[in-house]
Amino acid sequence: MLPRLIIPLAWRNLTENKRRLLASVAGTAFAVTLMFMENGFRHAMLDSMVNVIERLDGQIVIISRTLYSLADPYHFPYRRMVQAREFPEVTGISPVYVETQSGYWRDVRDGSLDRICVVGIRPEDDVLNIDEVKEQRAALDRPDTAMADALSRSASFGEFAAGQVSELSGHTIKLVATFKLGINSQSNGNLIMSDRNLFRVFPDLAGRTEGDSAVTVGLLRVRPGTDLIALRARLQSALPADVRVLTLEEFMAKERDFWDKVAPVGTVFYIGVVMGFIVGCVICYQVLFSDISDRIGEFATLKAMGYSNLRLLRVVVMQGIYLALLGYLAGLAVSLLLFRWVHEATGLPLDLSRNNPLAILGLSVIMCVLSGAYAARKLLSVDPAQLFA
Amino acid sequence: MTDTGTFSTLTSVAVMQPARADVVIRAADVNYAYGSGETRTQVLFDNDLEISRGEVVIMTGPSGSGKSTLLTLIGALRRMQEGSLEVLGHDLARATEREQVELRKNIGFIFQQHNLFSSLTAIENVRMATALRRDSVQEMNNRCVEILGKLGLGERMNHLPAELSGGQKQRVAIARALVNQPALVLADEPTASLDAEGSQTVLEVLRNMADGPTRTTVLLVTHDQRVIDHADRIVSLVGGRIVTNSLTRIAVRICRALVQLEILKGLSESTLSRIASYMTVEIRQPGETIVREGEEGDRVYVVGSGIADAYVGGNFDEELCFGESFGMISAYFKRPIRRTVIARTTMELYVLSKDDFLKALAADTSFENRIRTALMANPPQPGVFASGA
Repeated sequence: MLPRLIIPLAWRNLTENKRRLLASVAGTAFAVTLMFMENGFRHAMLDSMVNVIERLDGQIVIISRTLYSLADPYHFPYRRMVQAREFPEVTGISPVYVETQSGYWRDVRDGSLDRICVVGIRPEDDVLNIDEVKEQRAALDRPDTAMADALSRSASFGEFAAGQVSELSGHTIKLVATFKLGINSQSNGNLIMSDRNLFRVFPDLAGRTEGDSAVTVGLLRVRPGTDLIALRARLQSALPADVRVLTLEEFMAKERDFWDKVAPVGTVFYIGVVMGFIVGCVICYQVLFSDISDRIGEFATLKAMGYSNLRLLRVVVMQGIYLALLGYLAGLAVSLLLFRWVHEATGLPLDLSRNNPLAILGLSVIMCVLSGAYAARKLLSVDPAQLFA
Repeated sequence: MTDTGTFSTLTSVAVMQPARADVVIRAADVNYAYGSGETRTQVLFDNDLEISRGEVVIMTGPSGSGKSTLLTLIGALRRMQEGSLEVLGHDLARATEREQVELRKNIGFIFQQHNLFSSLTAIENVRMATALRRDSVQEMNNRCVEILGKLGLGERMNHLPAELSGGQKQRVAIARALVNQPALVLADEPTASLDAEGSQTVLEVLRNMADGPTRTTVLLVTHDQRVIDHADRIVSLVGGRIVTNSLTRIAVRICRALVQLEILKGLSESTLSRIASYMTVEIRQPGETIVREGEEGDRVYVVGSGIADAYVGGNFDEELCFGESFGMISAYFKRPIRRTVIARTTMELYVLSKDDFLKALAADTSFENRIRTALMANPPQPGVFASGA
């Protein structure tokens, strides 16, 4: 059999020794998996922090100027929303109340208390894009009722079920249904209840009058085709300085940014990705350096024959790219299995679509190319004259 | 066959002969040193060398004589330090790194180690060289198949190096060096790992390339005496200096005649070869008087072939044939020629002039002492080097 145009030297060198290839790919896959998992955890964490916001049905939100994260909610008076309602583009307003600090749910199994995130809505507003909530709005409107998140940590609250009766911060509450939202790093579970029931449990939020009620997120629905940015700017200038007006996307980005950049949680996962990258670089370097060392005489011969350094570098870099692709595929397969396992175990929203698989592929290739280029220093410095020694 | 190997039509041929026209390697005053300061070690001293297109030249010398260094300088694998070196029209004293790399593409390198990529088949290893002169796939493959066939590897071209014997691997490496039909081949002990048959095959291929349309110049570092029959010249280095640069076939024949001389018995091959390098070859016709009794002589003759008759005072004295000498260096021994010598058949005579005789003496004290001792102990006798005819 005669060779084709290109002699696949890089591929042959990489795959010649099957045992070494397996070890090399396993090493690279480990680094890829590490990056996938760390990045996956980061995205899952960020996504979980905005899982309520992304289900809000509206285009513009009003929040307290002092609110930096929904996990530590600050409130503003409902009358600001009434003021916003005066704008002709605004077709509807819906207050959303969030209480994360003082809501405690009693576990019916052992009577223990654990903190739970409570979201209050007007049932008649249909403000949350959660199917179960939409279906159970009438039931939710009944006194002393709530819906519980079936994805809440069972270790903290047991298994939530419709009809279950327990206690929320000293008030008896009956669960009329469950829904699936998901937990986050700041809360082990979620409850949704009507604003009226919420005010009974947390009377401080009710205020003396309706205008004084402490709204966490004021959701505005606007006419189709409205310039959201312009409207937001007009609202901001019209409303007092104690509130901030954002589009829903800006609010979501703000919340993600807080957890990603301001809070150390995002940074920790970033560091995890970087560590995976560094570990991968070290592994790839070792693999490629070892291969170059074993073939230094052959490469020196090519250099003597007239191969330029750039051409030799290309061989090693190609070898690095092949290693990256094989390691990526293996790492991806392992990561998918781990995603499923972790999701089932923790409820964190881990999946490939949230994980920038192309970014990880890019990182894997960069990792191996950099390592290859660094390992190739030995190759570039080899003196072909030594072959005559 | 080149004209350097035949001399029957010439009346005089110098053994120490300059290169013919069309010089492809021209070295002048080449010095080279390793290290600097106190550790500086000079390995080449004022070397001059010219090698023509189509010549097969053996470079020999003891270990550490500088032959490998000279070879690497000629191969553009090292940068020149002092002197001038022109190879294939490139001035290597001024060549940039890039120009050196370009030059090396026209040189076929054969190293002692085969340095084949174990991941590539024989033909793929050879194709690594054709990639330097990109051609059509068919053309590149044809060249590879042809050269591998010439070297007796037609049936083994799709085998990996691990499936080849040591000699076969070396022949693949040689094929890789020759596949582009380079203008210059530099080889370091190319036949060291070959059996007699393989060695013969390789040397014939090299000889044919030198004699063929490409008129490839071949420079070999070797101690393999089998190579001599295929070479045009031998260049010997001792202590970093080229001490002889002789036409191989004539030098071999002269040495064979010299070892017959009683006075030279026991001298080393290098001394004999050095003496041979000072000699010229003369052809004499039947009936021609070569030396005349009573005249002052300035040359010594050694019979290479044919028969001569010696006369003293007009009377037949004896017959002179292969390995016997006659003539006198009057200026040195201060004696007239004792006999008249007349060619009976066509004769090939090896001639040492007075000046070259003195040079040969000066270069080797053992040789000079031996001559002096012989002259002091005995009156000059026929068959003794430098004796009166």
